[in-house]
Amino acid sequence: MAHDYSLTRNFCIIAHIDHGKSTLADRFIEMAKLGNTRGPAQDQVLDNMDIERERGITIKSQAVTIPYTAKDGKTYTLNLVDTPGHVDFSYEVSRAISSCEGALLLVDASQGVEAQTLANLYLAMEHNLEVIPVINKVDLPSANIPMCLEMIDNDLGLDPDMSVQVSAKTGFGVDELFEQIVDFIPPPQGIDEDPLKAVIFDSHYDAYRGIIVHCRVFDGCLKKGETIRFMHGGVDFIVEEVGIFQLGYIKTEVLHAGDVGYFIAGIKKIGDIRVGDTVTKLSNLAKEPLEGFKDVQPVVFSSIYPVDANDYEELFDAIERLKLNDASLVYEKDSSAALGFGFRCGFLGLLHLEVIQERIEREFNLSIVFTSPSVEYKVHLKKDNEVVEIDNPLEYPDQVLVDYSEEPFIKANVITPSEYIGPIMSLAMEKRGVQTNMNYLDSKRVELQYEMPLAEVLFEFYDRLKSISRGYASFDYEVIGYRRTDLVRLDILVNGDQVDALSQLVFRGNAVQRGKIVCQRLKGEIHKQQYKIAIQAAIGGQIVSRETITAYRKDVTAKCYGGDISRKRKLLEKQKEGKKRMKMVGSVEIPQQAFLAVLKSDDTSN
Amino acid sequence: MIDFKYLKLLNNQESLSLYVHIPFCQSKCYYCAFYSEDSSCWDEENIKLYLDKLHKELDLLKLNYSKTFETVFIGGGNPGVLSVEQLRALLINIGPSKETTFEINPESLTNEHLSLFKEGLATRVSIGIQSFNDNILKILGRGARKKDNLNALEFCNKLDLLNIDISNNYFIKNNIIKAEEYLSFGVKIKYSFDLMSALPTQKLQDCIEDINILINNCSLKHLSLYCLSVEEGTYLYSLVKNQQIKKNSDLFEKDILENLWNYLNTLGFHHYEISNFAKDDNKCLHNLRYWTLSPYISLGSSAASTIYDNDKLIRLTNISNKENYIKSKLFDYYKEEILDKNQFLDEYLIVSLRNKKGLNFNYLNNKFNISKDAVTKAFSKIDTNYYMISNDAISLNEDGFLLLDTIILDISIGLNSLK
Ligand SMILES: Nc1nc2c(ncn2[C@@H]2O[C@H](COP(=O)(O)OP(=O)(O)OP(=O)(O)O)[C@@H](O)[C@H]2O)c(=O)[nH]1
Ligand SMILES: C[S@@+](CC[C@H](N)C(=O)[O-])C[C@H]1O[C@@H](n2cnc3c(N)ncnc32)[C@H](O)[C@@H]1O
Ligand code: SF4
Ligand SMILES: [Mg+2]
Repeated sequence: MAHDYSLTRNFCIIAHIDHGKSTLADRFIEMAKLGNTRGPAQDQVLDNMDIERERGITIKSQAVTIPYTAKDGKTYTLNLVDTPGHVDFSYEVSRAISSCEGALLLVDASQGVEAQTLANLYLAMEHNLEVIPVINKVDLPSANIPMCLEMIDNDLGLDPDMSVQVSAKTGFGVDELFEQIVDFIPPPQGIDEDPLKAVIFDSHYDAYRGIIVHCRVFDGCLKKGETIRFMHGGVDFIVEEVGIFQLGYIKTEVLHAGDVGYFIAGIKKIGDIRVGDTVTKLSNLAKEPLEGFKDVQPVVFSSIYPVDANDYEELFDAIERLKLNDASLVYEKDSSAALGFGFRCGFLGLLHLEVIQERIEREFNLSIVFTSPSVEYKVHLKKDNEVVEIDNPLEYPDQVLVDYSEEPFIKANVITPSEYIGPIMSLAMEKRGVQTNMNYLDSKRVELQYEMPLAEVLFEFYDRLKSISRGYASFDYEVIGYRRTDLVRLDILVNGDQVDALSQLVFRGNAVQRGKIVCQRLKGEIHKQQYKIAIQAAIGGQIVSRETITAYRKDVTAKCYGGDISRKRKLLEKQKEGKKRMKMVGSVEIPQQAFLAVLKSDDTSN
Repeated sequence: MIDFKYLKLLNNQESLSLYVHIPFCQSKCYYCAFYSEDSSCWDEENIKLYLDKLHKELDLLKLNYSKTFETVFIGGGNPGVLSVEQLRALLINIGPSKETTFEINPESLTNEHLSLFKEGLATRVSIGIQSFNDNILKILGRGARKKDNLNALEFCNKLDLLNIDISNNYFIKNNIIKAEEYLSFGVKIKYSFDLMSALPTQKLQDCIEDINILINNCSLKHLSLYCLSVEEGTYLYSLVKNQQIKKNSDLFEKDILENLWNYLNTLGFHHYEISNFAKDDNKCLHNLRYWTLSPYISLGSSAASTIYDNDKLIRLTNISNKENYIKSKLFDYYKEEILDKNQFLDEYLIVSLRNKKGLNFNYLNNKFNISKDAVTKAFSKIDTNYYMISNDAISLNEDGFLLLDTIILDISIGLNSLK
């Protein structure tokens, strides 16, 4: 029996960060009347993780199926994927794109085209998606529609006549956009009767139902009771349930060719699932798998340790489950003298690291410590011209054995209103950047290109860029290869004991300054204790900076009458909670916060 | 209808003290975080309604509690904003006790207040001097000046000279208590002053001077000496935050406290709680109740009570809002907590380590099943210069007092991890 594909449209919403993707998704959902059942409408309903809601950004792509009755009287099934805009999560965008035939490329009417607008457009074009340019936020007084039309034409090379003007906030233009989607984005191709080929683009763990796999069916169809095979993993499972995403999971009879949906198949081992793998049916095997996703290249590395060593197993579970839901996370086992057993993890950027940290703490209720983030260096040894790749400072060999080192460089692309060029240039210079290009996009906006070490970007480059440009500069980068550098290891000592988890690999020219900042930060975070505490930074045994925390001399509340007792007890309970999150180094208690403070190794306040 | 389920427990308490909170002050001192409002927030009518409510609760309380209160404390705020008649009526309704204190600001004291002592309605007065230095008093936003403070000392001298005739005792005269029973309480007239130290601009010598003025102008037997704490939400806090007033270093405070504690020691005062000093048997019986977690019931806004249901400690807290208190039903506590064992233990640590007597081994054993060994072990983390162990207790010495909060934290963690 043939399935009518002509009424299905798969598309994603892509854009630069904050251009209004999630808000537009809200309007779609609202107009399809899906939102009604949940009481008063919430903003950015698809941003359902706490951390997304708090930060107001999307971190994970989120799919939802909505019915739409078009002007032609037919009811279409629209599979919409909201994607994140931040560079660190572009992997999420590429996964979303691979499950769609079309994309809405949003452009904020007051900001115009920005770095991720371009980057995401290229991703969509690589996959031959039909792209509809959408000018959003036209309700803003600062909206500049002629500018946007011109940019769509010149910068994006898309047909401005095809663009739709909307306000995701007010709903203006969304009706027209619906029609455009139905008219312009092609229905999925694929034949139910062909051998099944479905790509796994995500998965997550549900406490009641186990592992839920998200997939896009390209050919064939999938029903409960059928035996499937993961072509890459070579493992077989029996399907227990299939369905689609609405606001929640809706069980269906069958997933047809062209559908985006989920299945549950009693998968027990998280390692069996690989995002990008192709699912087929044992009864009618596909000949070859679909093209999977590009392997992710982590660029930032850091180790995660449980504050309480007994939580190691739980941390392992947590990381595995996060990996299920975030294929871009890579990890391996690690250990440290100061922090015990943990995991060395690779991230796509600093925000990615922060998100993982918060998710482990919130979703799994674990106290953890992260070590200073690092890039991966190529260290050339004198002996036998051997080259070792090192991202973990603790593996850095004795300096006398090292011939020279190389560090990853990036091509950084900054687009900024012209008035901020001056400060941005000095920031880039301070960060060892070399300008390679400067290009006026129009009378007010400039594109600057730099080649600079990736390591420099890890230390609040982005935050400072945002603050000196009042949020107007956008930033994007790609890794262009390795270049020679002068690398040293900076060690931190607390009362003479080395805190191995705080060691960092740094460019020699930055080492003293960085050592000083780390000592100051630690001083600010380590509480007074009953003894004096010395904090030192050292390069190869030579002390380059020192701070001292004096011992407690008086710590007593003067007054305690009847009404104070419970208040004092609650304070004590809080302090005890805080102590649980401390690590002992020698006899000194170091709060988890201190490790985190060291991460932010630039002082943005100056 | 009154649904205060704890009223029935009152007669079961081994003894019961009473605290009454008067949340009114003429003006708000800059450092003060206690719940009280200045005179722009209240008028005579408010006070009247507030007192009406207190009396109603007292009436009901006495219906359910048939004994006399062990000790009584009327605090604030400044109970001196009540007329002597109002104060008198309140004290009468409360009834006799072994020690009945009211707190008062120096500028509110009048000779009329003497009558309260003559009639045995009150037995102790606690007067907030803070400092005798007019500049400092001004910086603190105090209503009183040095001359008011000296007048208060005058008042106390008159108290010393009062001829207390038991036949004038209101409660005996009105058959509320029998003379023999009252005499068995061993009541005597007492007074105490509050001083503050480490105040802005204040030097050690200023504090010594304050103590000297007290001992030279009255027969001082009890003193509360508080080190200034800058409390969130106060005006002082904002001054410190905006760097208009510099906060003292902990080293400076340590230095000042050590010196003052020493000085009071040489004057023959017993340092029986972090901030309290007494000669002979002049300790404040009421405050000792707090520091031993003995049962007390409190009336008025923001007031908290501690009562027991068998071996469970129940903490009741009233809302910090006088209008709400006036409007609410009788004994409509805003919050009630039944403490679990760990919370109970924490509270015991908090109060009893402030106390010179320290942690009692028997008590820990009976209430929490914690052995002497376990306690000693928890203390092994603490520098031995800070505490001492006797047969029946472990207690902090003066060096330990200075680090009380840190020590409580360590011991609490140590004892919790036993279980
Ligand atoms: N005035 C106006 N504001 C809008 C409109 N659309 C979105 N916004 C606002 O823009 C901000 C960002 O909106 P989001 O929908 O979270 O943007 P996003 O593209 O999903 O952002 P990321 O997921 O972080 O990439 C929010 O404060 C929205 O309220 C619009 O049409 N008009
Ligand atoms: C609750 S107050 C009420 C006393 C009375 N109203 C008076 O001011 O005289 C009791 C005492 O606590 C002390 N006190 C209040 N706030 C303080 C603070 N922030 N730091 C130290 N002691 C304080 C003062 O010595 C004050 O006399
Ligand atoms: S210290 Fe006394 S007078 Fe001053 S505000 Fe506080 S309670 Fe009122
Ligand atoms: Mg979003």
